[in-house]
Amino acid sequence: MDFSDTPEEAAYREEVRAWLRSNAPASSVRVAHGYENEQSIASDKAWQARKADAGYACITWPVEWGGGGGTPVQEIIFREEESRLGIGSAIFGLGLGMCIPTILTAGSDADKARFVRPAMRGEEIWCQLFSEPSSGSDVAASRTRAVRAGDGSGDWIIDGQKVWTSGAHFSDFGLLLARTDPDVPKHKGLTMFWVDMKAPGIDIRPIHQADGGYGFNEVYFSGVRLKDGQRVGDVGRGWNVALVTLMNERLSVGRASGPDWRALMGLAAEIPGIEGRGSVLGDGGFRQRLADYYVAGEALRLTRLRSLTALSRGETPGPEASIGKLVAARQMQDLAFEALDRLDRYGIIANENAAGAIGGFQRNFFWGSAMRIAGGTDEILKNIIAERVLGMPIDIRVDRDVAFKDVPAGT
Amino acid sequence: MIAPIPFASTVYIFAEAVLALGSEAQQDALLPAIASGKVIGCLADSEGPGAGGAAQVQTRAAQGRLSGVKIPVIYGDVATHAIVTALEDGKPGLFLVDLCATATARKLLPTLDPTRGAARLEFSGAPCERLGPAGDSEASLDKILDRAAVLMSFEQVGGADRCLEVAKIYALERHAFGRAIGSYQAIKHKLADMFVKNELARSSAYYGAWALNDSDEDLAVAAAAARIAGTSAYDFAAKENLHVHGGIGFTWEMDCHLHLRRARQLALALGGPPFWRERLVRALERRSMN
Repeated sequence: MDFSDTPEEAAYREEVRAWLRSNAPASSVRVAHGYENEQSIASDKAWQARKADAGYACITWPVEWGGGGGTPVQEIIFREEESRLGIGSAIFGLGLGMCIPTILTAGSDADKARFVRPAMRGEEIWCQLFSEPSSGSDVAASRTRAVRAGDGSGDWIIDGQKVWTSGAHFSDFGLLLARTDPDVPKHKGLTMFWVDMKAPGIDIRPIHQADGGYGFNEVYFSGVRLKDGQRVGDVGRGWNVALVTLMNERLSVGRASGPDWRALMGLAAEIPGIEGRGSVLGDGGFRQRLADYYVAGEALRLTRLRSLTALSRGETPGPEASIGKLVAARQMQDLAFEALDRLDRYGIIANENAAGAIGGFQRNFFWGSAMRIAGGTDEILKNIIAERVLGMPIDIRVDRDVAFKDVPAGT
Repeated sequence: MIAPIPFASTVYIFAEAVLALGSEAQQDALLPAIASGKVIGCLADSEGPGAGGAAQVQTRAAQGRLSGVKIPVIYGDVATHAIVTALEDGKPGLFLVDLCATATARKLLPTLDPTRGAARLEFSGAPCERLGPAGDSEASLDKILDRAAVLMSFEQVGGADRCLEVAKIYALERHAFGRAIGSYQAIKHKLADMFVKNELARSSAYYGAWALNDSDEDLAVAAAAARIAGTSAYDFAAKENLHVHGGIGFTWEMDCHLHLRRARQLALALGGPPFWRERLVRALERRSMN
């Protein structure tokens, strides 16, 4: 493997830089996740459309669907250059990273023709309606019911509740995992649908998060009527469809966001050391820990490059691709606690500037906790590594061959 | 597998040092003999407890003669040649010594990892010749340590991989409470933690190798990171592998203790983790100033 651009990659990077120079918005409205507003969403949509017109919105997608027909490495190069300018947006991530790839794999031709382009251009935003109050890590335990309407129309009536739905409040469509048959074991009674988030009977309530923002939602379904054509895949095959979505989630290899070891090092140089001697950066204990943060952060970046090298050679990334989020989330949390430790009393003053080091570390003081849960908890990810990569036996499952309605539910 | 041969000391350290710093005559004399196995090399830089480095050196060189005590010298028990740190005219330097010549007393030392021997070497006017430029030994020694750190990190990754492998095998074989112990999350998570550390160490080692080959300016940072990640992965894997084995792991019936010993031997042989973490942060500071 190589750690510098090949001549082709370097040429592509130059091309991207040149395009960004003449096309990137002079100013954009940047807000943290959970603080999106009309203005920031409008600005994100305009930028997404411009990228789509130039073939940069979904670089790896086939040209026939409006993609760029490029390689994963090109996609990474574009994102690196884009994030250098601070203009990337996450609000299309769930749609383009998970929902639309699922439609492309399991949806009807009509669905593909209807949804792919508007999503790519940022005209329509998608959310993912999987988790429920009683099914978090155990997402196949979804209880939201989909029952055939009694009028012979073939329509479905949806009742139930989803939760942790990022961006539901500004989404146009959602991918919904619902239970169509509670009399068979849990994995066999699920079906996938797409829903119009503006449909009657859907009630979206933003959740007040630990960090103070409102990025997640509760989504209530009360007698929501869906056409049978809104089904994605066969009845009872919802879990197989969900696995496509979740696999795409894991392919978007986790990375830490917010201030990194470099920012911690810079901050430490500005904070006086214990009893006023020198700076924190001169403190031996701090230096020892900084070295470990550097090693974890850089090794994770290098591990991602290993996966990319495999992709760029047309190979499947090895099992190393599975460690990303596990390491990244812990790193976010560790760095944040270290920074606050070193700020000492001053660390308790909430700093509103999330783009600055102190505000950024305070944000990650909260978001480290969230990242260790979202998209698979630390524990679930370790189970996956142990079972799928290392070949350990799967856990004993008391719910495997039991009708879903008979599985103990707790309270 | 654990091999009791002085490969690391001769090839990672001694040969790399002669390649990087040796005169043409020194290279001609030593490199073919290293390749044929006639010369076994070692690095004699430590003079007692702690990571004192150059500031700790008491050994003196004058008029081609060397005097002082080095302890421990890894593979000093079997080596034919040593690279020795010493002061000449008050300035630190590196010197080549033929240990089979006169005026060197060797005392074998017991070690935590008996597959890797060590000795106390006492030089009393031993013939020596300078290795590398005069008055620049810290930079020269840094170069030797960086190159050795990268190469040794691959040995650490290999050892850590082996620990994970045998832990996996044992976790599938051993049953408790009617199930393979590998079906319990407590064991699964331990194995997953080993896997994560091993992959991070592997990526860091690859990057170190790239820097060793292609990028002198990145070598100090890359080598220190490879060493820290490799040490952390192998130490962790060795400890947790023994733990997964339970009581039998703490006996000579199993290889667990061999890895526990070897992991610590490698962790300390080239300077311990605190020394390398400090080296890494210094290298980061230098880089951020450039």
